[in-house]
Amino acid sequence: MFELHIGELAELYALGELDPSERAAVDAHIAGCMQCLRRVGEAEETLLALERGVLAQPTPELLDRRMRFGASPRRYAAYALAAAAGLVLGILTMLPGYLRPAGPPQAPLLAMINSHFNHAQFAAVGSTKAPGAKVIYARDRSWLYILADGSEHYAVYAINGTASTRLGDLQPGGSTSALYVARAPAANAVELRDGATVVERAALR
Amino acid sequence: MRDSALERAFAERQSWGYEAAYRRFGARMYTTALRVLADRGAAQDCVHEVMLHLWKRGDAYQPERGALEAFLVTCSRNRALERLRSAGRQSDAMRRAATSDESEELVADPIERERIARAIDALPAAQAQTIRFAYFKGMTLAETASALGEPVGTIKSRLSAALRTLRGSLVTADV
Repeated sequence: MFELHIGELAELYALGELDPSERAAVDAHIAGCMQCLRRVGEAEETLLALERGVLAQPTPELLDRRMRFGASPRRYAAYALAAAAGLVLGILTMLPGYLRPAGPPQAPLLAMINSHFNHAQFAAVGSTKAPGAKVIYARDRSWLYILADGSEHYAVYAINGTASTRLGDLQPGGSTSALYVARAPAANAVELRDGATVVERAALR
Repeated sequence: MRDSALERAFAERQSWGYEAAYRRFGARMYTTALRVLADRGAAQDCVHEVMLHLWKRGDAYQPERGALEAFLVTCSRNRALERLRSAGRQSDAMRRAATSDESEELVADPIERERIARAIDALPAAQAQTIRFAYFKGMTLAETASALGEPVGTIKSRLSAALRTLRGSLVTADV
């Protein structure tokens, strides 16, 4: 696509202003052209400098407060998921022993990495006080991974129309609880229940 | 200050490098996405999507490219823009972000803000206007071109030139 170098496309690439085909062409080019790779990197560093002038980075304390007690405390589970994503990598590539956590088990994280997946937030049912929770699931529904803030042993049910199937109970681990279901039944929603009470529900696309 | 050991570990897909990068740069990635999306939850989702995508791809970053933080923050911003635009939302989210309660707590160092304002003011007027629209307001190239009454190609060239000039005044050697 390019006679020699990518030119001004480097800055437009960093700005996210290329269409997918142009972006793919730039990716292919910079994989083998150090000069253009550096030009892209320089543009990214300039954008970072601009970004620092727009909004300051929150302190860890503020970020933690935002995640846990902000206007959307339920989103904490999303943050926990991102942290879990970091842990995935440790498990997959022989994380040093001191970092090996008592966190999410290996199977769901391997499943996440090796398949196409979606994720959905749980929404509280009625006025029940529900923890922030999220479900990550394979698009082919071959597995589900439910992650919730807190250490409650909620029962997890797959909902398919009017039918419900108990999948198991959330297992506490640190500040979150999780359940991995390797071969999930057909479902259009997942519920967390406390006894017979539906605490919250997430719709699967 | 760049951390060459961390950058190499990230590029080589070593777990500790990935985890350390997330812990060190995740907050900046989050605030960048938040500025675009004006939605805390969506911004958090955006960060974890970026990290998972990069892990799955595996070869996106090399230290020779530049600072890892810059790469990750740019990925976060661009993913946020994709989300915004795929949802049919326009740059109003960025304008709302500028007036949200969140921004009051995340307001930048006034000295840094002033330094950037001066650098932009020093650009040729057309370039300064273009980068304000396309970067700070998050307008697409077409929107910027329409607002300024210029062809899209002209806007592209101005943006590129503006960024290269700003690098000279804003980016120090160690980033």
